[in-house]
Amino acid sequence: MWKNITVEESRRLARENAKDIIACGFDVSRTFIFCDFDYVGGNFYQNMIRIAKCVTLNQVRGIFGFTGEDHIGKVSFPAVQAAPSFPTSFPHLFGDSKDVHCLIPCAIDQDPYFRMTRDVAPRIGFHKPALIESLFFPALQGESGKMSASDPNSAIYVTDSPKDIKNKINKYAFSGGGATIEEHRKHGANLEVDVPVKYLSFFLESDEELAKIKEEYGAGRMLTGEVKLRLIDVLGKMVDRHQKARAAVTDEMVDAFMAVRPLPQMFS
Amino acid sequence: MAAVSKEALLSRLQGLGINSIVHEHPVVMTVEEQSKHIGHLGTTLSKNLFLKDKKGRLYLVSALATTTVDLKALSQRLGLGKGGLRMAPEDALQEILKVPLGSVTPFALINPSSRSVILLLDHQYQNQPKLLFHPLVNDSTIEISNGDFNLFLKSIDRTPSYVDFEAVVTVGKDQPPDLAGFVTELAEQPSSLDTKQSIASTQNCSIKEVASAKFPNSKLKVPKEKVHIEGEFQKLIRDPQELVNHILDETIKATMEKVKDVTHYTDTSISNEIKSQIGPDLQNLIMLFKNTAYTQGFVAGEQYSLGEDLVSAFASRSSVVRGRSESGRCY
Repeated sequence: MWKNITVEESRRLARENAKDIIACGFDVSRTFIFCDFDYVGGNFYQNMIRIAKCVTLNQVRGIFGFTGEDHIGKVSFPAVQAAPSFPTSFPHLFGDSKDVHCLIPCAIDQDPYFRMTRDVAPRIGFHKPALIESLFFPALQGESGKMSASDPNSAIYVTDSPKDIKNKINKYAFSGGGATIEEHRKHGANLEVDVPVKYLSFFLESDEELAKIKEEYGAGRMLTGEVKLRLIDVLGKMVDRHQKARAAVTDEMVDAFMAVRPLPQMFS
Repeated sequence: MAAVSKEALLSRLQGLGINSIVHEHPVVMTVEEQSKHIGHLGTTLSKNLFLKDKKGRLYLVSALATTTVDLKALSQRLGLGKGGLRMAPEDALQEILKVPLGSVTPFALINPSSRSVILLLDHQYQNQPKLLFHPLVNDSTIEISNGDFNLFLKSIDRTPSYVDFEAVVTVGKDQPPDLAGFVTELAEQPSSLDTKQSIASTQNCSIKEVASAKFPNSKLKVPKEKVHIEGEFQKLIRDPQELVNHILDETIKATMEKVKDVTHYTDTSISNEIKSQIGPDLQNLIMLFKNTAYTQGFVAGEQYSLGEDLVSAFASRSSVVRGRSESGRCY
């Protein structure tokens, strides 16, 4: 509804995304993946209506900035987004129990939806969902830029080859290092704007190694090229593993994850 | 090995119980020339392209003369990028397909030397009653029924892979190449039986195993048909022995490395380091194994609850899977 793609394309992309998610290592005996297009109905829809009745048009205008020009799909979407926070939306998983707590890991831009949900929850007899909001890491070109699917040089994609990753980091990752080697040795790197170091802080497993790199690079003893090389290595391995795992995810596996079935092992 | 001759081909077809009609005509090098002599039959002629990609893999594309085959688009759909497909050089024609210029034909795949050639057939062949191909030479044309052609393919251990060459398919970041499953991995040994099954039918083979075996032992045996196309992980999760060997290899390798580095003192510290180094990856692999086993059970369960007799359930499953892999998506 926001990017103006067709329903068919949305469903296709949803399945593709599901494959990426499964490739991250979710356990099929404890995971249910659903797509609104297939799942909305029954108890889920009943909760959507209960939620919708608690939020006025003026409120969604205030929270989400909708105007008279926005189509009604957008305006009614917050209720769809909120419904999965409540256990009775999933009768095959939780029956009619209202006493199940919900934890939502999401990006910070989803916050308004769930603040609204938290406001509605006690009014319809549910626990408030809890959120873990994750930080965005910067686009390759730095804070001034934005990651976009249409600009391949703004981000590393999970479909990138090792060559692509090497190229993108070396050519496009914004460096906080000095303009010349002498300057860099003298003043060190500006860690506030340096993109490779920021990426490493997300992706490098070892906190000690990260601290050491920050120290050496910040003091000018380590060069930008070396930091970039380390990042290329880390990202390369990660992307390679993800691609291999994703290749092993079949359409049947996606169907299994999305099948409306009970999950008795969920809390074991 | 010597090339199979036209006579040998014809006697092989007869041996399979195939009644085909051979039309003799002067040597023809193009479809236009060919149609001058046998256009009157009313059956659409076929055009056959012998192609090569940058990595040296060979493809035989066989389509109705009326179908437009855009090599650039096909190359993208196969995941070879734009311009990844070229006409194969003449010596490949001689060496692999063992037919002269102007005689490219699916029948050439009867030669064992062409085992690695990937065959792509026009999906419109399926609704043609008769097909026309050169019988390894271009001074005649065989008229063969669609069903008999499939019989021939089966006899050389090939399953027909149908492609809609005219389908407009966008390939991009979010849309992986829909025909990439046909492209074999180069590392494999050339003596495979079937080189063109997509990844979906790879899973289908193990479903065959499970459907007849008892679930939940989930016998992930290596299926009888050694399927060519498998990523690294698929190989490991298919076979518990492979998986265990992989785990042990990784562990031993990591241990050896650590043991060499004498600055680490205690056993527990080495052990923890090794675990943190290879643990997460192995966990991921095991989860994939579990998910695969569950999926196969799920599919078997679906079949079971549909209550059909297993033979027709098996048949309908294969065509559904093939349908999925061809259209790319099942919705």
